[in-house]
Amino acid sequence: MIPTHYEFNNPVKIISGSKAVDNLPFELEQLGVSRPLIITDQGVAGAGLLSIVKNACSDSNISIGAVYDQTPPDSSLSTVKQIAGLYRKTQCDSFVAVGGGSAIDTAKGVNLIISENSDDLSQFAGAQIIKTPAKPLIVIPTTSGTGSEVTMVAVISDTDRNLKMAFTSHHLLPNVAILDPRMTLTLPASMTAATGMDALSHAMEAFISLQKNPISDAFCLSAIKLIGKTLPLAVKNGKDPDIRLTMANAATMAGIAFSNAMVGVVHGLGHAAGAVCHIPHGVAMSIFLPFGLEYNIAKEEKRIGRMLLSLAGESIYLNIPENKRAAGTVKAVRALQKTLYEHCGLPYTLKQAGATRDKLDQIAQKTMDDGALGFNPEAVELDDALMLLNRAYE
Amino acid sequence: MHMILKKRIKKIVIKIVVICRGRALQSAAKSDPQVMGELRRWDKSLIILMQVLPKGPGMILSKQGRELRYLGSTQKQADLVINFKNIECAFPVMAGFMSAETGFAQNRMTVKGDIPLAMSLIRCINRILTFLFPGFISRRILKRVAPFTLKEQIIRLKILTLGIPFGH
Ligand SMILES: NC(=O)c1ccc[n+]([C@@H]2O[C@H](COP(=O)([O-])OP(=O)(O)OC[C@H]3O[C@@H](n4cnc5c(N)ncnc54)[C@H](O)[C@@H]3O)[C@@H](O)[C@H]2O)c1
Ligand SMILES: [Fe+2]
Repeated sequence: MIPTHYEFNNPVKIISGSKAVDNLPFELEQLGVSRPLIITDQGVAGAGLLSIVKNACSDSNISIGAVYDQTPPDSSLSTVKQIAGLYRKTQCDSFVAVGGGSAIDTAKGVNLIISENSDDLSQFAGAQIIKTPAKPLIVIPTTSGTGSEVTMVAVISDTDRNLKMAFTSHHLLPNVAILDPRMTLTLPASMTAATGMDALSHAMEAFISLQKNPISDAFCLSAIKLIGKTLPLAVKNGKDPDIRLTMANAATMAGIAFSNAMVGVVHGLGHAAGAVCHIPHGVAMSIFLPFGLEYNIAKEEKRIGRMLLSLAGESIYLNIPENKRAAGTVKAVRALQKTLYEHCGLPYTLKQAGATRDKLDQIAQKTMDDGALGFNPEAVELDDALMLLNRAYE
Repeated sequence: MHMILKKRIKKIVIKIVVICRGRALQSAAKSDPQVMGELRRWDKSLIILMQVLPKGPGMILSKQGRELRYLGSTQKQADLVINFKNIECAFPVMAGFMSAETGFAQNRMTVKGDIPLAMSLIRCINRILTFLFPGFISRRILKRVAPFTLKEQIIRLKILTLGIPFGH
Protein backbone atom coordinates (compact mmCIF):
# COMPACT_ATOMS: atom_id res chain seq x y z
CA MET A 1 0.00 0.00 0.00
CA ILE A 2 1.29 3.47 -0.87
CA PRO A 3 1.45 5.81 2.14
CA THR A 4 -1.05 8.67 2.01
CA HIS A 5 1.91 11.03 2.04
CA TYR A 6 5.64 10.53 1.89
CA GLU A 7 8.81 12.35 0.94
CA PHE A 8 12.04 11.03 -0.50
CA ASN A 9 15.25 12.96 -0.98
CA ASN A 10 18.63 11.72 -2.11
CA PRO A 11 20.63 14.36 -3.93
CA VAL A 12 24.07 12.86 -3.13
CA LYS A 13 26.23 12.12 -6.14
CA ILE A 14 27.66 8.64 -5.75
CA ILE A 15 30.99 7.72 -7.30
CA SER A 16 31.94 4.06 -7.06
CA GLY A 17 35.05 2.48 -8.50
CA SER A 18 38.43 0.92 -7.92
CA LYS A 19 40.23 4.30 -8.16
CA ALA A 20 37.28 6.54 -7.31
CA VAL A 21 39.17 8.64 -4.72
CA ASP A 22 41.23 10.11 -7.57
CA ASN A 23 38.07 11.93 -8.67
CA LEU A 24 38.20 14.05 -5.50
CA PRO A 25 39.95 17.13 -7.03
CA PHE A 26 37.57 17.16 -9.99
CA GLU A 27 34.54 16.96 -7.73
CA LEU A 28 35.83 19.71 -5.43
CA GLU A 29 36.36 21.96 -8.43
CA GLN A 30 32.87 21.19 -9.66
CA LEU A 31 31.63 22.46 -6.33
CA GLY A 32 33.62 25.65 -6.77
CA VAL A 33 36.02 25.09 -3.85
CA SER A 34 39.75 24.51 -3.57
CA ARG A 35 40.76 24.44 0.09
CA PRO A 36 39.17 21.56 1.97
CA LEU A 37 39.58 20.68 5.62
CA ILE A 38 40.08 16.94 5.96
CA ILE A 39 38.43 15.32 8.96
CA THR A 40 39.51 11.83 9.96
CA ASP A 41 40.64 9.80 12.98
CA GLN A 42 43.75 8.08 14.29
CA GLY A 43 42.74 4.60 13.16
CA VAL A 44 42.14 5.71 9.61
CA ALA A 45 45.29 7.82 9.48
CA GLY A 46 47.27 4.97 11.03
CA ALA A 47 46.03 2.57 8.36
CA GLY A 48 47.71 4.82 5.78
CA LEU A 49 44.47 5.82 4.09
CA LEU A 50 45.20 9.55 4.14
CA SER A 51 48.05 9.08 1.72
CA ILE A 52 45.58 7.81 -0.90
CA VAL A 53 43.61 11.03 -0.49
CA LYS A 54 46.66 13.29 -0.43
CA ASN A 55 48.07 11.53 -3.43
CA ALA A 56 44.83 12.13 -5.32
CA CYS A 57 45.12 15.86 -4.60
CA SER A 58 48.76 16.19 -5.57
CA ASP A 59 49.40 17.90 -8.89
CA SER A 60 45.95 19.46 -8.83
CA ASN A 61 44.43 22.85 -8.11
CA ILE A 62 43.33 21.67 -4.72
CA SER A 63 45.35 22.58 -1.66
CA ILE A 64 44.44 20.82 1.55
CA GLY A 65 43.85 23.59 4.10
CA ALA A 66 44.29 21.43 7.20
CA VAL A 67 43.92 17.88 8.44
CA TYR A 68 42.18 17.04 11.71
CA ASP A 69 42.91 13.43 12.67
CA GLN A 70 41.86 13.28 16.33
CA THR A 71 38.15 12.51 15.97
CA PRO A 72 37.09 10.41 18.96
CA PRO A 73 34.74 7.43 18.61
CA ASP A 74 31.11 8.64 18.29
CA SER A 75 32.44 12.21 18.06
CA SER A 76 31.58 14.84 20.66
CA LEU A 77 30.23 18.36 20.91
CA SER A 78 33.60 19.72 22.07
CA THR A 79 35.47 18.11 19.15
CA VAL A 80 33.04 19.72 16.74
CA LYS A 81 33.65 23.11 18.30
CA GLN A 82 37.42 22.65 18.21
CA ILE A 83 37.43 21.70 14.52
CA ALA A 84 35.25 24.68 13.66
CA GLY A 85 37.98 26.86 15.15
CA LEU A 86 40.59 25.13 13.00
CA TYR A 87 38.44 25.60 9.89
CA ARG A 88 38.12 29.33 10.51
CA LYS A 89 41.77 29.77 11.39
CA THR A 90 43.06 27.97 8.31
CA GLN A 91 40.51 29.66 6.02
CA CYS A 92 39.20 26.48 4.48
CA ASP A 93 36.22 26.54 2.15
CA SER A 94 34.91 22.98 2.25
CA PHE A 95 35.08 19.61 4.02
CA VAL A 96 36.31 16.16 3.12
CA ALA A 97 35.45 13.45 5.65
CA VAL A 98 37.61 10.35 5.51
CA GLY A 99 36.50 7.68 7.93
CA GLY A 100 33.62 5.77 9.44
CA GLY A 101 30.47 7.22 10.95
CA SER A 102 32.41 9.00 13.67
CA ALA A 103 34.50 11.12 11.28
CA ILE A 104 31.62 11.66 8.84
CA ASP A 105 29.15 12.79 11.49
CA THR A 106 31.78 15.06 13.00
CA ALA A 107 32.21 16.72 9.62
CA LYS A 108 28.45 17.17 9.33
CA GLY A 109 28.35 18.75 12.79
CA VAL A 110 31.22 21.13 12.04
CA ASN A 111 29.65 22.05 8.72
CA LEU A 112 26.41 22.89 10.51
CA ILE A 113 27.91 25.31 13.01
CA ILE A 114 30.18 26.88 10.40
CA SER A 115 27.29 27.63 8.07
CA GLU A 116 25.06 28.78 10.93
CA ASN A 117 27.97 30.88 12.19
CA SER A 118 27.66 29.50 15.68
CA ASP A 119 29.81 27.77 18.28
CA ASP A 120 27.23 25.63 19.93
CA LEU A 121 25.95 22.59 18.08
CA SER A 122 23.49 21.53 20.77
CA GLN A 123 21.29 24.49 19.97
CA PHE A 124 20.46 22.92 16.58
CA ALA A 125 19.14 19.63 17.96
CA GLY A 126 15.94 18.55 16.36
CA ALA A 127 14.56 17.54 13.01
CA GLN A 128 14.45 19.70 9.87
CA ILE A 129 15.03 23.03 11.56
CA ILE A 130 18.24 24.22 9.92
CA LYS A 131 17.66 26.84 7.26
CA THR A 132 21.10 27.81 5.97
CA PRO A 133 22.64 25.81 3.13
CA ALA A 134 25.92 24.22 4.18
CA LYS A 135 29.46 24.30 2.77
CA PRO A 136 30.45 21.65 0.25
CA LEU A 137 31.09 18.27 1.91
CA ILE A 138 32.58 15.24 0.20
CA VAL A 139 32.57 11.97 2.08
CA ILE A 140 34.96 9.06 1.61
CA PRO A 141 33.69 6.27 3.87
CA THR A 142 36.25 3.81 5.25
CA THR A 143 33.71 1.49 6.86
CA SER A 144 30.75 -0.12 5.10
CA GLY A 145 28.10 0.41 7.69
CA THR A 146 26.62 3.69 8.79
CA GLY A 147 25.60 4.94 5.36
CA SER A 148 26.28 8.39 6.78
CA GLU A 149 27.72 9.38 3.36
CA VAL A 150 24.14 9.56 2.07
CA THR A 151 22.07 10.32 5.15
CA MET A 152 20.63 13.56 6.48
CA VAL A 153 21.44 12.37 9.99
CA ALA A 154 24.36 13.12 12.27
CA VAL A 155 24.73 11.34 15.60
CA ILE A 156 27.06 13.13 17.98
CA SER A 157 27.56 12.32 21.63
CA ASP A 158 27.14 14.77 24.42
CA THR A 159 29.81 13.37 26.72
CA ASP A 160 28.74 15.55 29.66
CA ARG A 161 25.16 14.30 29.65
CA ASN A 162 26.15 10.79 28.56
CA LEU A 163 23.78 10.70 25.61
CA LYS A 164 23.83 10.62 21.83
CA MET A 165 22.26 13.60 20.14
CA ALA A 166 20.65 13.21 16.74
CA PHE A 167 20.50 16.00 14.18
CA THR A 168 18.46 15.61 11.03
CA SER A 169 18.29 18.10 8.19
CA HIS A 170 18.47 18.03 4.43
CA HIS A 171 21.32 20.49 4.77
CA LEU A 172 23.46 17.82 6.42
CA LEU A 173 23.46 15.69 3.28
CA PRO A 174 26.91 15.51 1.72
CA ASN A 175 27.34 16.62 -1.91
CA VAL A 176 29.36 13.65 -3.03
CA ALA A 177 30.04 10.15 -1.67
CA ILE A 178 33.12 8.37 -2.98
CA LEU A 179 33.15 4.58 -2.67
CA ASP A 180 36.61 3.18 -3.30
CA PRO A 181 37.56 -0.37 -2.26
CA ARG A 182 41.07 0.76 -1.32
CA MET A 183 39.54 2.64 1.61
CA THR A 184 38.02 -0.43 3.29
CA LEU A 185 40.67 -3.08 2.51
CA THR A 186 42.39 -2.30 5.83
CA LEU A 187 39.26 -2.60 7.96
CA PRO A 188 39.80 -5.45 10.47
CA ALA A 189 37.44 -8.43 10.25
CA SER A 190 35.65 -7.70 13.53
CA MET A 191 34.98 -4.12 12.46
CA THR A 192 33.89 -5.28 9.01
CA ALA A 193 31.38 -7.59 10.68
CA ALA A 194 30.04 -5.02 13.12
CA THR A 195 29.67 -2.22 10.59
CA GLY A 196 28.12 -4.63 8.09
CA MET A 197 25.49 -5.58 10.66
CA ASP A 198 24.80 -1.86 11.15
CA ALA A 199 24.08 -1.60 7.42
CA LEU A 200 21.85 -4.68 7.56
CA SER A 201 19.91 -3.25 10.46
CA HIS A 202 19.39 -0.01 8.53
CA ALA A 203 17.88 -1.88 5.61
CA MET A 204 15.78 -4.23 7.75
CA GLU A 205 14.48 -1.59 10.13
CA ALA A 206 13.73 0.83 7.29
CA PHE A 207 11.74 -1.89 5.51
CA ILE A 208 9.25 -2.14 8.38
CA SER A 209 9.42 1.44 9.67
CA LEU A 210 6.29 3.58 9.90
CA GLN A 211 7.99 5.91 7.41
CA LYS A 212 8.65 3.25 4.76
CA ASN A 213 7.69 4.06 1.20
CA PRO A 214 7.93 2.33 -2.18
CA ILE A 215 11.22 3.97 -3.10
CA SER A 216 12.97 3.25 0.17
CA ASP A 217 11.64 -0.34 -0.01
CA ALA A 218 13.52 -0.90 -3.26
CA PHE A 219 16.78 0.26 -1.68
CA CYS A 220 16.16 -1.90 1.41
CA LEU A 221 15.66 -5.14 -0.47
CA SER A 222 18.65 -4.60 -2.76
CA ALA A 223 20.86 -3.81 0.22
CA ILE A 224 19.68 -6.84 2.22
CA LYS A 225 20.39 -9.12 -0.71
CA LEU A 226 23.92 -7.81 -1.22
CA ILE A 227 24.74 -7.90 2.50
CA GLY A 228 23.34 -11.41 2.99
CA LYS A 229 25.59 -12.69 0.25
CA THR A 230 28.69 -10.56 0.73
CA LEU A 231 29.15 -9.83 4.43
CA PRO A 232 30.42 -13.34 5.36
CA LEU A 233 32.81 -13.14 2.41
CA ALA A 234 34.07 -9.69 3.39
CA VAL A 235 34.86 -10.97 6.88
CA LYS A 236 36.68 -14.05 5.58
CA ASN A 237 38.36 -12.42 2.64
CA GLY A 238 38.86 -8.76 3.40
CA LYS A 239 41.58 -8.26 0.83
CA ASP A 240 39.26 -8.80 -2.13
CA PRO A 241 38.47 -5.38 -3.65
CA ASP A 242 35.32 -6.60 -5.42
CA ILE A 243 33.84 -7.88 -2.20
CA ARG A 244 34.78 -4.64 -0.43
CA LEU A 245 33.23 -2.49 -3.13
CA THR A 246 30.05 -4.54 -3.04
CA MET A 247 29.75 -4.02 0.71
CA ALA A 248 30.39 -0.29 0.28
CA ASN A 249 27.57 -0.12 -2.26
CA ALA A 250 25.24 -2.13 -0.04
CA ALA A 251 25.88 0.10 2.98
CA THR A 252 25.24 3.19 0.87
CA MET A 253 21.96 1.76 -0.40
CA ALA A 254 20.88 0.90 3.12
CA GLY A 255 21.80 4.46 4.10
CA ILE A 256 19.64 5.96 1.37
CA ALA A 257 16.79 3.74 2.54
CA PHE A 258 16.94 4.66 6.19
CA SER A 259 17.66 8.33 5.65
CA ASN A 260 14.22 8.43 4.04
CA ALA A 261 12.37 5.77 6.03
CA MET A 262 14.09 6.01 9.43
CA VAL A 263 14.86 3.15 11.82
CA GLY A 264 13.21 1.68 14.91
CA VAL A 265 13.66 -0.06 18.23
CA VAL A 266 16.96 -1.75 17.30
CA HIS A 267 18.58 1.64 16.88
CA GLY A 268 16.77 3.04 19.90
CA LEU A 269 18.25 0.32 22.11
CA GLY A 270 21.61 0.56 20.36
CA HIS A 271 22.03 4.30 20.81
CA ALA A 272 21.19 3.93 24.50
CA ALA A 273 23.54 0.96 24.99
CA GLY A 274 26.22 2.97 23.22
CA ALA A 275 25.72 5.96 25.47
CA VAL A 276 25.57 4.01 28.75
CA CYS A 277 28.00 1.12 28.17
CA HIS A 278 30.04 2.40 25.21
CA ILE A 279 29.17 -0.60 23.09
CA PRO A 280 30.24 0.23 19.51
CA HIS A 281 27.25 1.05 17.34
CA GLY A 282 27.64 -1.87 14.91
CA VAL A 283 28.12 -4.39 17.71
CA ALA A 284 24.96 -3.17 19.41
CA MET A 285 23.05 -3.36 16.13
CA SER A 286 24.11 -6.94 15.62
CA ILE A 287 23.04 -7.94 19.12
CA PHE A 288 19.62 -6.27 19.00
CA LEU A 289 18.60 -6.93 15.39
CA PRO A 290 17.06 -10.42 15.81
CA PHE A 291 15.23 -9.36 18.98
CA GLY A 292 13.94 -6.20 17.36
CA LEU A 293 12.60 -8.10 14.35
CA GLU A 294 10.96 -10.71 16.56
CA TYR A 295 9.36 -7.96 18.62
CA ASN A 296 7.71 -6.47 15.54
CA ILE A 297 6.34 -9.68 14.02
CA ALA A 298 2.86 -9.07 15.40
CA LYS A 299 2.65 -5.80 13.44
CA GLU A 300 4.70 -6.54 10.31
CA GLU A 301 4.73 -10.30 9.84
CA LYS A 302 4.44 -10.21 6.04
CA ARG A 303 7.23 -7.73 5.51
CA ILE A 304 9.57 -9.42 7.94
CA GLY A 305 8.86 -12.67 6.10
CA ARG A 306 9.51 -11.02 2.75
CA MET A 307 13.03 -10.05 3.80
CA LEU A 308 13.92 -13.75 4.01
CA LEU A 309 13.89 -13.96 0.22
CA SER A 310 16.47 -11.20 -0.02
CA LEU A 311 18.58 -12.31 2.91
CA ALA A 312 18.72 -16.07 2.46
CA GLY A 313 17.82 -16.62 -1.19
CA GLU A 314 15.06 -18.32 -3.14
CA SER A 315 15.59 -21.94 -2.20
CA ILE A 316 15.38 -21.32 1.54
CA TYR A 317 12.50 -18.89 1.13
CA LEU A 318 10.39 -21.23 -0.97
CA ASN A 319 11.00 -24.14 1.37
CA ILE A 320 9.49 -22.34 4.31
CA PRO A 321 5.68 -22.02 4.50
CA GLU A 322 4.38 -18.49 4.43
CA ASN A 323 3.33 -18.39 8.07
CA LYS A 324 6.84 -19.34 9.22
CA ARG A 325 8.79 -16.93 7.06
CA ALA A 326 8.97 -14.06 9.54
CA ALA A 327 10.44 -16.42 12.12
CA GLY A 328 12.66 -17.70 9.30
CA THR A 329 14.08 -14.22 8.79
CA VAL A 330 14.93 -13.95 12.48
CA LYS A 331 16.58 -17.36 12.27
CA ALA A 332 18.59 -16.34 9.21
CA VAL A 333 19.85 -13.23 11.02
CA ARG A 334 20.89 -15.44 13.95
CA ALA A 335 22.68 -17.79 11.56
CA LEU A 336 24.57 -14.83 10.10
CA GLN A 337 25.42 -13.70 13.63
CA LYS A 338 26.81 -17.15 14.38
CA THR A 339 28.97 -17.14 11.26
CA LEU A 340 30.37 -13.75 12.22
CA TYR A 341 30.96 -14.87 15.79
CA GLU A 342 32.89 -17.90 14.60
CA HIS A 343 35.01 -15.91 12.17
CA CYS A 344 35.91 -12.90 14.22
CA GLY A 345 34.23 -13.15 17.62
CA LEU A 346 31.54 -10.55 16.95
CA PRO A 347 29.52 -10.53 20.22
CA TYR A 348 25.89 -11.63 20.05
CA THR A 349 24.93 -10.89 23.67
CA LEU A 350 25.24 -7.75 25.75
CA LYS A 351 27.30 -9.65 28.28
CA GLN A 352 29.86 -10.65 25.66
CA ALA A 353 29.99 -7.00 24.61
CA GLY A 354 30.99 -6.02 28.14
CA ALA A 355 27.71 -4.69 29.53
CA THR A 356 26.74 -5.50 33.09
CA ARG A 357 23.24 -6.41 34.25
CA ASP A 358 22.97 -3.48 36.64
CA LYS A 359 23.15 -1.10 33.65
CA LEU A 360 20.05 -2.48 31.91
CA ASP A 361 17.62 -0.21 33.77
CA GLN A 362 19.58 2.85 32.76
CA ILE A 363 19.78 1.70 29.13
CA ALA A 364 16.01 1.10 29.10
CA GLN A 365 15.39 4.61 30.46
CA LYS A 366 17.61 6.17 27.80
CA THR A 367 15.96 4.11 25.08
CA MET A 368 12.67 5.86 25.82
CA ASP A 369 14.31 9.18 24.86
CA ASP A 370 15.28 8.01 21.39
CA GLY A 371 13.43 9.42 18.41
CA ALA A 372 13.72 6.13 16.52
CA LEU A 373 11.06 4.56 18.75
CA GLY A 374 8.45 6.74 17.11
CA PHE A 375 9.04 5.03 13.76
CA ASN A 376 8.97 1.50 15.13
CA PRO A 377 5.81 -0.37 14.07
CA GLU A 378 5.15 -1.79 17.54
CA ALA A 379 4.73 0.45 20.59
CA VAL A 380 7.74 0.44 22.89
CA GLU A 381 7.20 1.21 26.56
CA LEU A 382 9.75 1.12 29.35
CA ASP A 383 8.86 -2.47 30.31
CA ASP A 384 9.20 -3.59 26.71
CA ALA A 385 12.65 -2.05 26.40
CA LEU A 386 13.73 -3.73 29.62
CA MET A 387 12.33 -7.07 28.48
CA LEU A 388 14.28 -6.83 25.19
CA LEU A 389 17.46 -5.88 27.04
CA ASN A 390 17.10 -8.84 29.38
CA ARG A 391 16.61 -11.18 26.44
CA ALA A 392 19.67 -9.78 24.71
CA TYR A 393 21.79 -9.91 27.83
CA GLU A 394 22.99 -13.52 27.68
CA MET B 1 -13.98 29.91 -3.00
CA HIS B 2 -15.05 26.43 -2.04
CA MET B 3 -11.43 25.49 -1.26
CA ILE B 4 -10.83 28.60 0.81
CA LEU B 5 -13.95 27.92 2.82
CA LYS B 6 -12.82 24.37 3.48
CA LYS B 7 -9.50 25.65 4.70
CA ARG B 8 -11.25 28.05 7.08
CA ILE B 9 -13.43 25.29 8.45
CA LYS B 10 -10.38 23.14 9.02
CA LYS B 11 -8.75 25.98 10.92
CA ILE B 12 -11.79 26.35 13.13
CA VAL B 13 -11.94 22.62 13.81
CA ILE B 14 -8.27 22.63 14.75
CA LYS B 15 -8.80 25.59 17.06
CA ILE B 16 -11.60 23.80 18.90
CA VAL B 17 -9.74 20.51 19.18
CA VAL B 18 -6.63 22.30 20.37
CA ILE B 19 -8.57 23.84 23.25
CA CYS B 20 -9.96 20.43 24.24
CA ARG B 21 -6.60 18.72 24.05
CA GLY B 22 -4.77 21.56 25.78
CA ARG B 23 -7.21 21.54 28.68
CA ALA B 24 -7.21 17.75 28.82
CA LEU B 25 -3.43 17.76 29.11
CA GLN B 26 -3.53 20.42 31.80
CA SER B 27 -6.00 18.34 33.74
CA ALA B 28 -4.19 15.02 33.23
CA ALA B 29 -1.01 16.66 34.52
CA LYS B 30 -2.79 16.87 37.90
CA SER B 31 -4.51 13.51 37.95
CA ASP B 32 -2.99 10.88 35.68
CA PRO B 33 0.10 9.11 37.08
CA GLN B 34 1.43 8.35 33.60
CA VAL B 35 1.36 11.96 32.43
CA MET B 36 2.64 13.12 35.82
CA GLY B 37 5.52 10.67 35.52
CA GLU B 38 6.48 12.09 32.14
CA LEU B 39 6.30 15.68 33.42
CA ARG B 40 8.59 14.91 36.33
CA ARG B 41 11.39 14.25 33.87
CA TRP B 42 10.99 17.62 32.10
CA ASP B 43 12.91 20.74 33.08
CA LYS B 44 11.31 22.74 35.90
CA SER B 45 10.02 25.50 33.73
CA LEU B 46 9.61 25.36 29.99
CA ILE B 47 7.38 26.34 27.12
CA ILE B 48 6.19 24.11 24.33
CA LEU B 49 4.66 25.42 21.14
CA MET B 50 2.82 23.38 18.52
CA GLN B 51 1.72 25.42 15.56
CA VAL B 52 0.58 25.31 11.98
CA LEU B 53 2.78 27.23 9.55
CA PRO B 54 2.68 29.92 8.38
CA LYS B 55 0.06 31.65 10.54
CA GLY B 56 -1.40 29.28 13.08
CA PRO B 57 -3.46 28.13 14.77
CA GLY B 58 -1.25 26.83 17.55
CA MET B 59 -1.13 25.52 21.08
CA ILE B 60 1.15 26.65 23.86
CA LEU B 61 1.86 24.59 26.93
CA SER B 62 3.77 26.02 29.81
CA LYS B 63 5.27 23.98 32.60
CA GLN B 64 5.87 25.78 35.89
CA GLY B 65 7.01 23.61 38.75
CA ARG B 66 4.63 20.66 38.74
CA GLU B 67 1.91 22.39 36.87
CA LEU B 68 1.22 22.25 33.18
CA ARG B 69 -0.88 25.05 31.74
CA TYR B 70 -2.53 25.46 28.42
CA LEU B 71 -1.97 29.04 27.34
CA GLY B 72 -3.83 29.50 24.09
CA SER B 73 -1.72 30.49 21.13
CA THR B 74 0.04 33.82 21.49
CA GLN B 75 3.60 33.09 22.63
CA LYS B 76 6.50 33.37 20.19
CA GLN B 77 9.51 31.98 22.11
CA ALA B 78 9.52 28.35 23.18
CA ASP B 79 11.94 25.61 24.28
CA LEU B 80 10.36 22.99 22.07
CA VAL B 81 8.61 23.91 18.85
CA ILE B 82 6.66 21.51 16.68
CA ASN B 83 5.77 23.07 13.35
CA PHE B 84 3.28 21.63 10.91
CA LYS B 85 4.26 22.48 7.34
CA ASN B 86 0.75 23.62 6.37
CA ILE B 87 -2.88 23.25 7.36
CA GLU B 88 -3.42 20.12 5.26
CA CYS B 89 -0.40 18.50 6.91
CA ALA B 90 -1.69 19.49 10.31
CA PHE B 91 -5.34 18.64 10.06
CA PRO B 92 -5.41 14.87 10.60
CA VAL B 93 -2.85 15.08 13.41
CA MET B 94 -4.23 18.14 15.18
CA ALA B 95 -7.81 16.96 14.84
CA GLY B 96 -6.82 13.58 16.28
CA PHE B 97 -7.39 11.28 13.30
CA MET B 98 -3.71 10.46 13.12
CA SER B 99 -1.09 9.85 15.78
CA ALA B 100 1.83 12.24 16.13
CA GLU B 101 4.15 9.35 15.26
CA THR B 102 2.43 8.80 11.95
CA GLY B 103 2.50 12.55 11.41
CA PHE B 104 6.28 12.54 11.81
CA ALA B 105 6.58 9.45 9.64
CA GLN B 106 4.75 11.31 6.89
CA ASN B 107 7.07 14.32 7.15
CA ARG B 108 4.17 16.52 8.16
CA MET B 109 6.03 18.38 10.89
CA THR B 110 9.43 19.54 12.11
CA VAL B 111 10.82 19.63 15.66
CA LYS B 112 13.07 22.30 17.09
CA GLY B 113 14.57 21.37 20.41
CA ASP B 114 15.27 18.38 22.57
CA ILE B 115 14.22 15.07 20.97
CA PRO B 116 13.85 13.26 24.34
CA LEU B 117 11.42 15.98 25.41
CA ALA B 118 9.54 15.63 22.13
CA MET B 119 9.26 11.86 22.66
CA SER B 120 7.90 12.41 26.15
CA LEU B 121 5.40 14.98 24.87
CA ILE B 122 4.20 12.51 22.23
CA ARG B 123 3.60 9.91 24.94
CA CYS B 124 1.51 12.48 26.83
CA ILE B 125 -0.46 13.42 23.73
CA ASN B 126 -1.11 9.76 22.93
CA ARG B 127 -2.30 9.24 26.47
CA ILE B 128 -4.70 12.17 26.15
CA LEU B 129 -6.09 10.69 22.96
CA THR B 130 -7.09 7.56 24.86
CA PHE B 131 -9.00 9.72 27.34
CA LEU B 132 -10.73 11.77 24.67
CA PHE B 133 -11.74 9.07 22.23
CA PRO B 134 -13.62 5.83 22.72
CA GLY B 135 -11.38 2.74 22.63
CA PHE B 136 -12.40 1.59 19.17
CA ILE B 137 -11.17 4.86 17.70
CA SER B 138 -7.97 5.29 19.70
CA ARG B 139 -7.02 1.70 18.98
CA ARG B 140 -7.15 2.52 15.28
CA ILE B 141 -4.92 5.55 15.67
CA LEU B 142 -2.38 4.41 18.25
CA LYS B 143 0.01 1.47 18.19
CA ARG B 144 -1.22 0.08 21.48
CA VAL B 145 -4.03 0.95 23.87
CA ALA B 146 -4.30 -0.94 27.15
CA PRO B 147 -7.81 -1.40 28.59
CA PHE B 148 -8.60 1.14 31.33
CA THR B 149 -8.58 0.21 34.98
CA LEU B 150 -11.35 1.54 37.22
CA LYS B 151 -8.99 4.23 38.49
CA GLU B 152 -8.26 5.32 34.96
CA GLN B 153 -11.99 5.45 34.19
CA ILE B 154 -12.37 7.90 37.05
CA ILE B 155 -9.47 10.03 35.83
CA ARG B 156 -11.01 10.05 32.39
CA LEU B 157 -14.38 11.10 33.75
CA LYS B 158 -12.75 13.93 35.64
CA ILE B 159 -10.89 15.16 32.56
CA LEU B 160 -14.04 15.05 30.43
CA THR B 161 -16.38 16.69 32.93
CA LEU B 162 -14.15 19.14 34.79
CA GLY B 163 -10.88 19.41 32.87
CA ILE B 164 -12.15 20.31 29.43
CA PRO B 165 -15.21 22.46 30.21
CA PHE B 166 -13.81 24.29 33.26
CA GLY B 167 -10.05 24.03 32.91
CA HIS B 168 -9.59 22.11 36.18
N1 LIG C 1 24.81 9.50 10.50
C1 LIG C 1 24.26 8.35 10.32
O1 LIG C 1 23.41 8.20 9.47
C2 LIG C 1 24.71 7.21 11.20
C3 LIG C 1 24.16 5.93 11.03
C4 LIG C 1 24.62 4.90 11.84
C5 LIG C 1 25.60 5.15 12.78
N2 LIG C 1 26.11 6.39 12.94
C6 LIG C 1 27.18 6.70 13.92
O2 LIG C 1 28.45 6.34 13.36
C7 LIG C 1 29.34 6.00 14.40
C8 LIG C 1 30.00 4.68 14.14
O3 LIG C 1 30.65 4.69 12.89
P1 LIG C 1 31.43 3.41 12.35
O4 LIG C 1 30.69 2.21 12.74
O5 LIG C 1 31.68 3.65 10.93
O6 LIG C 1 32.77 3.40 13.20
P2 LIG C 1 33.89 4.53 13.52
O7 LIG C 1 33.83 5.62 12.55
O8 LIG C 1 33.73 4.88 14.95
O9 LIG C 1 35.22 3.71 13.32
C9 LIG C 1 35.52 2.61 14.14
C10 LIG C 1 37.02 2.36 14.22
O10 LIG C 1 37.48 1.82 12.99
C11 LIG C 1 38.63 2.50 12.53
N3 LIG C 1 38.60 2.44 11.07
C12 LIG C 1 37.64 2.97 10.28
N4 LIG C 1 37.91 2.67 8.99
C13 LIG C 1 39.04 1.93 8.98
C14 LIG C 1 39.79 1.32 7.94
N5 LIG C 1 39.42 1.38 6.66
N6 LIG C 1 40.90 0.65 8.28
C15 LIG C 1 41.27 0.54 9.58
N7 LIG C 1 40.60 1.09 10.58
C16 LIG C 1 39.48 1.79 10.30
C17 LIG C 1 38.49 3.88 13.11
O11 LIG C 1 39.73 4.50 13.25
C18 LIG C 1 37.84 3.62 14.45
O12 LIG C 1 38.82 3.33 15.39
C19 LIG C 1 28.51 5.99 15.66
O13 LIG C 1 28.72 7.19 16.36
C20 LIG C 1 27.09 5.92 15.18
O14 LIG C 1 26.16 6.46 16.09
C21 LIG C 1 25.68 7.41 12.15
FE1 LIG D 1 23.04 2.55 12.47
